[in-house]
Amino acid sequence: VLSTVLSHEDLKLEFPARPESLDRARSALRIWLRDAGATPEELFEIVTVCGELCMNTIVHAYAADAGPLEIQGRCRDGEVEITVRDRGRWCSPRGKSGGIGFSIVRAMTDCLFRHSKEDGTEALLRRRLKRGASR
Amino acid sequence: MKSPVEILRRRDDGSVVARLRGDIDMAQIPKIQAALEAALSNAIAGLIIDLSGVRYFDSLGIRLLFDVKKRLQQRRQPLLLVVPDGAPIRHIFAIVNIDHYVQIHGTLESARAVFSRTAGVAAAE
Repeated sequence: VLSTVLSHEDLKLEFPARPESLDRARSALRIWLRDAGATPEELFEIVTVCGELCMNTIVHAYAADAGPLEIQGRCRDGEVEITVRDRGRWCSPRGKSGGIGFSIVRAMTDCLFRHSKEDGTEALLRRRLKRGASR
Repeated sequence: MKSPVEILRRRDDGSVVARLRGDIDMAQIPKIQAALEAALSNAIAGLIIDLSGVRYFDSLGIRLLFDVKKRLQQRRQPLLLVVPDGAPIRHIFAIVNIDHYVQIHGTLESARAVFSRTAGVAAAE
């Protein structure tokens, strides 16, 4: 019942899937995470993981014209859930950074899912904040 | 927008310092590549990439560091990184074990001392 106390505004962002959008996406995400009570370490790690996921979308999702890159976040009971979504069709060639990005993402998330559907690809990351655990 | 990289050439020991700052992402990498391209030559004693002022660094940046390392290695020019001990980006460097390939220093002074020593030895010989 107290969970509503811990919830705060959901995050909803949409940018063109271009490198120039990454900076604005990080700024918005940082503010949102700070408000959600993330520690500086958590903030750094979550922003880093989202950055890798967004970069994947920019590299893989759209062939010619950059379509939308959507980022949605919600925080419930001290658990942050962020979705990075595109409306494209993934072209398979691996990104320039290959396995390095994957290692970084894997080391910094509790939980990550990715699935491709007809209308795009969605990556979902979950991370329990220390703040949530202490209450 | 401020440039994400500043190149400093040291006349005393022949080294080059590339100071990166801010958020280094996909949009910044080409500018850094171009600046390094212009700064690296056979004549330099080595390169220090100073990441003290970097807040965000991703896998593409790591890839760039590996590429630069490979290039310098062919000419036997050392590459040193400066990353302060408590810096959040240290975490990324630890994940990818970059310290197995590149020397990491906590301060620019400590990295510079490597070249000063080498220059001193060369002058003494």
